[in-house]
Amino acid sequence: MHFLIEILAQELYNCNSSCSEGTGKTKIGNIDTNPIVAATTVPLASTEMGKVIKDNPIIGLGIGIAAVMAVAQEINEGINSYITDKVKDVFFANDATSSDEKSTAKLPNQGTVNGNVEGAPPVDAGKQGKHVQGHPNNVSSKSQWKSGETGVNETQEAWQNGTTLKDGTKVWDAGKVVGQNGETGVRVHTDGKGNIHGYPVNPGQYLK
Amino acid sequence: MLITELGNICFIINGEVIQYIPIRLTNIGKQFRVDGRYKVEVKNINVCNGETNIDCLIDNKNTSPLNGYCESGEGLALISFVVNNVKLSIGVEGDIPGVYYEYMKDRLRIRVTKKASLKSLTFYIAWLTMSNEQDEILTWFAADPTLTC
Repeated sequence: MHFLIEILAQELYNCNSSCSEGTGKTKIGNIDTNPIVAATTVPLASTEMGKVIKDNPIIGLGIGIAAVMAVAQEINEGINSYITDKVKDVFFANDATSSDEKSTAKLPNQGTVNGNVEGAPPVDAGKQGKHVQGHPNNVSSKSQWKSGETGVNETQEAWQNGTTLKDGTKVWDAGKVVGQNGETGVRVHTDGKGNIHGYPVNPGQYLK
Repeated sequence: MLITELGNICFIINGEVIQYIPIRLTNIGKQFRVDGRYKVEVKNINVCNGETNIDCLIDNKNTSPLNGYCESGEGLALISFVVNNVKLSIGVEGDIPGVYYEYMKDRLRIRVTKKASLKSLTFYIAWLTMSNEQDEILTWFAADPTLTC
């Protein structure tokens, strides 16, 4: 029995150490600095508590079980905290994206809008809306930006980095899917006022 | 002959004025509300001497200067004119292989080459007296051939 308790005590210590070291404090929390866990796990590894356990196997077993439960709870909480942190990370990452898109998420019915691309001409919201799902000007038969996206930034980026075609439009390979049908390019038209609008295209169709 | 607020709409094919019958369309659609909207189909396009030029122009007898400007879009070749607060747009199917589009001061010129397998083209013409700047987009939609209402 003594032997088992000693193993248990050592395992608890090892577990706590490996948990706090292996996963890192930022991930599942700092077990070492948790007073409850410290009160149960750290003494277990000390000679004093080890002696108590050795001398009294029943108490040792009780302490051991309590310690196991405490550590298990802490690990669970740590994991929960880790998951929560991760969820928050994802959420805030999405939120950051959302806030970026918020400037364009609600594309005005008319007028011009500016994205995040400095130096690019403004985007004509009314014309852009032809290619934006849910916009009053949407024409479903036309090429569509991915659901929930307005393509304002992509359009400005395409204007800045795209290849000018003979007809004066610009086509840019975005290197990622931007259109609802898997299009990875953007074509931009400039109107007489200098405003632009764009829509997803297959870049290979234009850039050869 | 279509008579608009900016002048008469004429069609010239390889330098020759053609007669046509404009077809009246609804002035109101989901994306637009205009004062006038018509379509004109140019049929029997034959490409000779390398290419055929089809001009759709505004003949206003030089009563006011015209400054046509491009307002193209996906599958759309469209020229617009603004005089005072009146805007007129002429649209035709764009991005046709072998067809080139020129946006001139008083006209939209379509150059059809032999590479284009094209026998007819339908022009859409729409105009509007604008009450504010936001109205400017309305003819862009009204003269888009893909919005065939």
